[in-house]
Amino acid sequence: MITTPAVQAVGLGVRRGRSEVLHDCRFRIPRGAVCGLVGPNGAGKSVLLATAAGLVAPDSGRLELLGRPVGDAANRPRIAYVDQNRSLYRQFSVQRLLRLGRDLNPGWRPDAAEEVLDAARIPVRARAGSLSGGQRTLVSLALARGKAADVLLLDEPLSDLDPLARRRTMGLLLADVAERGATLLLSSHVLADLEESIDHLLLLDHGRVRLAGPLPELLAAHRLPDPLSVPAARSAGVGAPAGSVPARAHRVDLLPGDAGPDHTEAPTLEELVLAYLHHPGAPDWISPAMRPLTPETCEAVGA
Amino acid sequence: MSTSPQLVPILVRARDPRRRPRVPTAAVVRLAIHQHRIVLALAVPVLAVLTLWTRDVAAQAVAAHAQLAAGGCLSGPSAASEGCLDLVQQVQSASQAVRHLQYALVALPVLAGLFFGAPLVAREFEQGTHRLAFSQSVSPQQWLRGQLALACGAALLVGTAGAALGVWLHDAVGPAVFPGDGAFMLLPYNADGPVLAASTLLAVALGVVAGTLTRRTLAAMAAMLGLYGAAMAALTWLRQYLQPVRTLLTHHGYDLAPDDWLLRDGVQLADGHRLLYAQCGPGGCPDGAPTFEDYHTADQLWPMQWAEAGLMVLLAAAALALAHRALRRPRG
Amino acid sequence: MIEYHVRRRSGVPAYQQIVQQTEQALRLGHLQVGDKLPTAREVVAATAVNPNTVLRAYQELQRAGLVESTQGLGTFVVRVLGQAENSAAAGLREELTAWVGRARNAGLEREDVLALTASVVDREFPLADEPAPGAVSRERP
Repeated sequence: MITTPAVQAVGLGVRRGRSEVLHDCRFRIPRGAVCGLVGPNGAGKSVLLATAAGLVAPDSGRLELLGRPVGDAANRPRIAYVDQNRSLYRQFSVQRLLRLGRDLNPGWRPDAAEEVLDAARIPVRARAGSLSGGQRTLVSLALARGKAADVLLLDEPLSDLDPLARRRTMGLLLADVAERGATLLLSSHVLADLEESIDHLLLLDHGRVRLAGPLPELLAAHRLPDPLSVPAARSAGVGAPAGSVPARAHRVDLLPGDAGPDHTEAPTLEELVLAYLHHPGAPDWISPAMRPLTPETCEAVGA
Repeated sequence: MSTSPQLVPILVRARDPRRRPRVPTAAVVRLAIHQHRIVLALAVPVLAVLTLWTRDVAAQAVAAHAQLAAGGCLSGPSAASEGCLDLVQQVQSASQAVRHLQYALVALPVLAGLFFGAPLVAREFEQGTHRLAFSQSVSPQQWLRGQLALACGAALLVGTAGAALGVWLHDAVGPAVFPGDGAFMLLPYNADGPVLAASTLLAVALGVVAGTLTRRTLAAMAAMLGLYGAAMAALTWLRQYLQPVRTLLTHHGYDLAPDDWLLRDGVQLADGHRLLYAQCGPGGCPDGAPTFEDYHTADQLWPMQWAEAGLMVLLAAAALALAHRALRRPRG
Repeated sequence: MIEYHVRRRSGVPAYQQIVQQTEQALRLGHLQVGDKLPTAREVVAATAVNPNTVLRAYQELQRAGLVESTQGLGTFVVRVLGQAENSAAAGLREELTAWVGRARNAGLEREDVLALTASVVDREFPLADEPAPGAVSRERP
């Protein structure tokens, strides 16, 4: 059964002035996924999220959310977005911001929003401008969660939260996934923040999708060389996988040519991401589960 | 393999995309009011000060004129006496006060455009809060309509209050009090009646469109000043055509009421050609030819004001439509 | 009701931690037959682990015949484990308590005691063929 993907990009490109910040991005995020969007600073994570939120127009290609082109009016109540700056009306009280959420969103869930704030004991009468960075993040997340959206686009949602708030907030967001089948796309440049919480990964580097797939599949399809048997391996050049390499045992690392029996180590998520970032020449790896559904693939699956 | 982890599909509660509850416009307007409540609140003391000032100035002018009349200084033998000169001085200073007040009234639209219209949308983009507004369940255009409703409402309210003050002044300080101070003259005209109300709307609308296009407050302020200046210059040139011109042909020169607006005068030759006084040669104008006067009468003042105000409202509507259009597509 | 604590970077996959903690609760009698396990939503909200992880742990427990899921009602314990807290074990516990007290008096640290007992347990209860962590996920059809 094919359900409409939560997010799907086909040849998506976004330019800022002369430089291209997103280049020919192709991916699909299935409904109900918790997808980590990782990559170094300047990889295009924020632009991708802002584009999906309808704040930046794509310059080429297509970007669809819930089967509709980005910016479609019918999608507005179904997509929530927290931007990197936690843009809030500084002179509004927290209470008034929550009312803004209630007034401007037909499906508003007041308890879901308050739940995010309650645990952190944020004074509802305080003006947004007087809150700390972490508190503003929580208010932004409360607004996003209260919207009861089907897709939540969260730009560095955990970056300025303390560990306890991080766990609690992530728990609430994931509860929406478990309960309502919401889809989360959240960026972070600290992978450790996302481990155990995400089930899909999308690695962006210089505006390109380098790596995308469900976590178990991603880890199962890659091997690192055994550091004991090949001491020089990690500093060696990039090995493009030879044509003979079975598709599911993709080797990013490290030895030239076909990676031999030395490649036995199952990578951790962090090692995998670092391996791709260290070797820009390594071919991209997009799992079939995260390749866009084109009309052709639909037919193929249907046949 | 049966041991492979299967991602368990979770039942997704289906939502009917056709049933899309709309956000009421009132909610969007309420947000706009709350956002701009401080600058809106500021309008109240400004208008209060202007009201007190108007009352003061009108009373001063009326009193000065009454004293002049009581002293018999308007006409007659005592008009040149020492006491009358004193009273005339008072009338002149009252007239000066009226002039100052009229400057303030004319500045009202400019201030509203600069400090309310221009930052209205520009600041939103400058501070990034548009990202919050546009991530709610309203479209940028619907959000803008809320802002525009507030902007137009506030501009009309303030403009009408200013216009009422202008009319008050106009009624208290007619040509009877200050002869030669015709209502068609630029200063009382623009500080008065429908024109003042509509020009406030126009200034705010130009500020809003400038802010929406530039997305920078300072740039929007500068653009608003330029646009408003150009619009007012064009409308000032245009206004003489907004009412039918009346023509007077006489043989004995001037015959206009003090509040009429003389557009041009000269002599009409036998062949029907007209010669302005300035065009008469060094020998003077031909003797015996009838003189003509093109003019607007005082009773054309309000129709002309309404017509000009109508043009201003059209211009303002065009500006707001442009701003609305500019938010149709996102821009990085 | 049982509360799960998932430790990150412990080397043990999160789903295994949930399975182990459930088994331990079943062993120690904290969970009895008929008790309800927390819903996936509750576990996810408390631990911030991915919902699929929780579902996978519950599936493992179900496969082991320890719990039973009833659509719409929740997941219930159908069998408890081991003898750790029954009457026969009560005497063993007392002896162990006394032994640990002696060990402390002898100057042993907490870690020393744990290492000592673990080495004895490992020798007396050798692991038959437990798969290495992560091995399961490598085999995909």
